[in-house]
Amino acid sequence: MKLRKVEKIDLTKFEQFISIIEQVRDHHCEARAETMFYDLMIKLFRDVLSAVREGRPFITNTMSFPTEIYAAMGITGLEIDMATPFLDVFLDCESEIFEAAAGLGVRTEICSPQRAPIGWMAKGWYPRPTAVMHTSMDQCDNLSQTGNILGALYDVPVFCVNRPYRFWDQKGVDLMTGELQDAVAFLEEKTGYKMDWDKLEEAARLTLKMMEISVEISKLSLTARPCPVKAGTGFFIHWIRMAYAGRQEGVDYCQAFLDEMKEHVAQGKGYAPQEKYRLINLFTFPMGQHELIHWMEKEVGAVFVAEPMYHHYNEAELAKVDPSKPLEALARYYYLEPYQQFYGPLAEFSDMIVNDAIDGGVDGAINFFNIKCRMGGAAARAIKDQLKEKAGIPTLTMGADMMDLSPATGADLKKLLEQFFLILDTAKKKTAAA
Amino acid sequence: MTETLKTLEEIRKVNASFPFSEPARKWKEQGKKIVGWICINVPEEIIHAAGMLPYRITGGDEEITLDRANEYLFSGSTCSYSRTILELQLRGEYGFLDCIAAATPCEGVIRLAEVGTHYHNIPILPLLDIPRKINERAYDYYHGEVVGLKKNLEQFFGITITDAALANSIAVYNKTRVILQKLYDMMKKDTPPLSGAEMMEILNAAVRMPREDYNILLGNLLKEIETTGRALPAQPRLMISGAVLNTSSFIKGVESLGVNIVADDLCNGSRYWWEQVEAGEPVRALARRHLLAQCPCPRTNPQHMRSEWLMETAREMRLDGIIALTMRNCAPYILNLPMWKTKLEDQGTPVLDLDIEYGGGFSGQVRTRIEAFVEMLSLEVEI
Repeated sequence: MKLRKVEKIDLTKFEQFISIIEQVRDHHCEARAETMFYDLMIKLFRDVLSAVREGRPFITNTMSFPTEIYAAMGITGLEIDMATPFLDVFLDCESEIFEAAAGLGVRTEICSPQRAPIGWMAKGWYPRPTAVMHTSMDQCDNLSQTGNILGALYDVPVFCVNRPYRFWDQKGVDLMTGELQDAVAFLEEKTGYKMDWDKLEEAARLTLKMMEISVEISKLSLTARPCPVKAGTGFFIHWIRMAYAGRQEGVDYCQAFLDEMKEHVAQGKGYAPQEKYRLINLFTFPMGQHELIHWMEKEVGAVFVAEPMYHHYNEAELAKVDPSKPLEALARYYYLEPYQQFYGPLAEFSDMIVNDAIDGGVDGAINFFNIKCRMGGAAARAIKDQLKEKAGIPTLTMGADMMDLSPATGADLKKLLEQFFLILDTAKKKTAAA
Repeated sequence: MTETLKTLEEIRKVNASFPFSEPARKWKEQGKKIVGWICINVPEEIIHAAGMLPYRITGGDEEITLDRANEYLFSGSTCSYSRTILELQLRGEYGFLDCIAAATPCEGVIRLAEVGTHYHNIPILPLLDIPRKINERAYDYYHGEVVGLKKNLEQFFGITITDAALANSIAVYNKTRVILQKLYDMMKKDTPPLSGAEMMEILNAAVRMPREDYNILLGNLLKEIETTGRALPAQPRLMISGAVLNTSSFIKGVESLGVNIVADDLCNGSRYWWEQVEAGEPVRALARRHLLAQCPCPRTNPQHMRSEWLMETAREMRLDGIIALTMRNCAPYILNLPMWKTKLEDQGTPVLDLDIEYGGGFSGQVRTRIEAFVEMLSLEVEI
């Protein structure tokens, strides 16, 4: 199959997804913040449909583009590589989507969150955006290239934000600030909408607030016993911080997440009936494996007290943020969002993991590393060795995939987890005997 | 019958002992330093100007088992190039290097360098960051990185690299580029003087010996080609495209099917030597040449530059087809290929999209698919 412009767009699936999420929200939420998460997701997808139907600009972006810019320009935006995995899993159409991507020559070595957007556009099931904003999200090879294919499929303009490898030096911040300046100019040209710099400053303040709340969430999660965070919701807060960056709804969500944790702490209540294993999670839990998460939490008593990729902020760097210089603030946020550090220098990313493991008093680490991820997967052994050496804990490394079950099914993962919990039991007995 | 070139025999001697080549061994015996480099965006001229031997870290001419590397870099996600390098490092075969200067071209190389620091004892300088976008802003940033590389090298060895030394090194390396361009121009003939496999042997030797000596060999080779009038038979003309490929035996296998590999799109081929460093302040000139290349790496944006270069090369070299070698897990190449494949095919240049592993041989399914492609071309091409 050749890479040609997709002429026919069919949004039936996109619309079906909203109905399904409404049902999930109404029937499957345990925590208040969960309900709020689905509410916000529904709102976002509805906004996209409205914008497209009414002929207003709609921008789609790949991971880590600062969506505060949309908020300040009054543009509707959607992160395609966070949206399409949800679409795939809830609509149960992964095979069709991956087949469409494969037809263009996009091989299975590319991680599923990056094949999914290509598949959705190749099928013509994704709304046609005004433009695609993609980023090198530090050094993820996929992200710096997929935007080009997406742009070619829908014949829309593409802008790549170039993100440097080293996070914190001024040179890196300056490069990012300049890149964002160019991104704003590009969006102004393509949408006809103008940047409201006062609104951008306000958006930068709101994001800062979200990050400050997230620091509290991280600390409480590491120290509270029993664990006041429901398993699997770490990804939700990350999703909201990305999708609702610079918006009051995002701040409200983070606050609700924290408040609910505090209520649990005050009541001495966790989500696991009996907390047996305190764990650190090293990568995103495979999507669609709700039963496995439920089993770990409710039957085994295994809780994730540390999820550094969602919660661990560099507080010293956070203190340097000045929202009155909004583009520079956004440049710094780009680095500050913990998930993105996983795609940066290994030393920083392994330090945040080791520190969380120590601070959380964890019994073991679980690495559901995405088998196709060249940044996370390649570092799995080095991380495991450092956790053993510096935190004295074992790590279960499981090659999984966020959506594609071919590398490991839920049953495979469960078997490995059962074996790992036996190892943790043995370690606990040894410690008790000593 | 094609003449055997004496200079080629000398070049083969350089590649014969891998990775510690004979010229490198002699260099080391003189008490001089060798700096290994990974990625062509590390300007070798800076290492050369420091009075050291820049030595490109690659695999050899055959596939090796990767048992040790696979323990540290997961085989399901890391390319076989990175794992091959790590394997050789863990085996101690690159123990003759005094340090490594690497860049950040892709995930594979970044994690190779970072993970490697935990498991082998060759010092690695701070990684030189290469932007993934080519424009003036990126150039300013990259220039700072090249300045940083120079400082890091100076600090690590306690030396000073002068502008005069840099200017001299640029001239030496530019000379190489001029001669390689001449050889490349000769490949435009219907009856090229060199096979693609020989070109690869020539390019492999470039990064495994002192450059001044290499330039002499290249000069001799040119003269020898001119005096002998060496010419290969006219056959279908192909390009090998890919990330990196060091196995001349692989290309020899392809050519044994009755084709001439007259061009390449490889980072140890055209992308390595394509352009001169222009005059000017040396570090700025180096940064400009290395970042703002006309035939960029698949990792770069905007992607149209690559498509345009490939389309132009296909026309200029009168290519009958392109073999696109997709190394497994090389995400930049995998995701870039769809962007130009359709354009080339629309232009009338068929592209064979083929999965390979770095160092892999010309056998099995790979051979079968290339044979089929060549048969298809032979039906279309009249020589």
